[in-house]
Amino acid sequence: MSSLFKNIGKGIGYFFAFPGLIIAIAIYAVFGLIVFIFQFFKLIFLFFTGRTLFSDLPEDIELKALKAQANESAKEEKKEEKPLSLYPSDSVVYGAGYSSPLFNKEEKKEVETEPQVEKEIEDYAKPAVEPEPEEGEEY
Amino acid sequence: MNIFIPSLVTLSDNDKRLIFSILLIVIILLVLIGFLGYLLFRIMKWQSKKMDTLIHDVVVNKVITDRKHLVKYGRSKNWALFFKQAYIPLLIIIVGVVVLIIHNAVNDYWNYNPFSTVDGFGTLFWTWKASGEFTGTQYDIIRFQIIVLDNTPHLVKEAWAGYVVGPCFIVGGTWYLISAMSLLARTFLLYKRSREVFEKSLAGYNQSEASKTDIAVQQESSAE
Repeated sequence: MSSLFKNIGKGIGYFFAFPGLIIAIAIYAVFGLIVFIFQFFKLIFLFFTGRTLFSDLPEDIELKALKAQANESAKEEKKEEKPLSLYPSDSVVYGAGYSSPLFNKEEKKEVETEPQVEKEIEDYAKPAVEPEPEEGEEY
Repeated sequence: MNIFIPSLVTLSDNDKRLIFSILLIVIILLVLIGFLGYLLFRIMKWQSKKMDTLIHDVVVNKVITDRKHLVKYGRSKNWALFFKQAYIPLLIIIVGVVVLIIHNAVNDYWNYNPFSTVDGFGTLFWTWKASGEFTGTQYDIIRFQIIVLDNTPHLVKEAWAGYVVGPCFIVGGTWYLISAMSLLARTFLLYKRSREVFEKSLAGYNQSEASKTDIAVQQESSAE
């Protein structure tokens, strides 16, 4: 029963608040239109200065800097916490600019195939029949 | 009072039926308006959540630390969002206005009503009007005109401008009003949050019970 009266009371409240709300929305709609026109001209002005109406505010820039700083420090913390590995990783350099052949097979393959390809090219460039030696030519 | 009592006594069955139906209509109207108000408040509550998203990060990361600054920042964000939300409906309304001006200029008919039931958007709807004939009880207070059907949906060639302008105005206008409602809802929430976020409460605090270190910490934080 009490909830029924509560609901009726709420309904009466909404009934009386409704006209006020409609008036407030109407006022805001008119005010919004005026501000919209000003913003439109501001947008045109900002366009020629290379900015937009939606550019970051100073607070946003500060926030981004803070976030970047936090990310940096988090990364550094992660690096410090990284345990030492028993196996050589990709970053281990074995001299002559090559990384470990055990853990980077693709790179190794590429290095190995290079002379083979050169040989193939040479073979292809060779004539199929050798030219006969000219007279007077010594062997 | 003496004037009304004998009159009420002489109410016929027809009068009583009429009074009862009028009362019923009034109650239904009250319920409908109340429900509409409730619906509007619910929608505005839902729309206002966007403001929390806009100001959350700067408050949580303590970029903004006072009420005035938060209100200023929130207002800038709010108007920028309103611009984003309102430009499409306003563009639709502008298209409608341009079509209306062209129509009026071509036909040299500047009194044209795009919602008219004769040569406007109103031709597509059922409309009713007061007949001028009175009915009701013997008392003037509850006498009213009989309502008769005025128009049934039909297409009129001359109403083409109304068919373009009418929907443009209705859709654009409703959309724009929703944007304005959203703006109002976000403004309400901004002021509410600006009060809540920096609020300090001494409820349940007793200075004599608080340790010296607590006071020192508080002093340090206030100095910062």
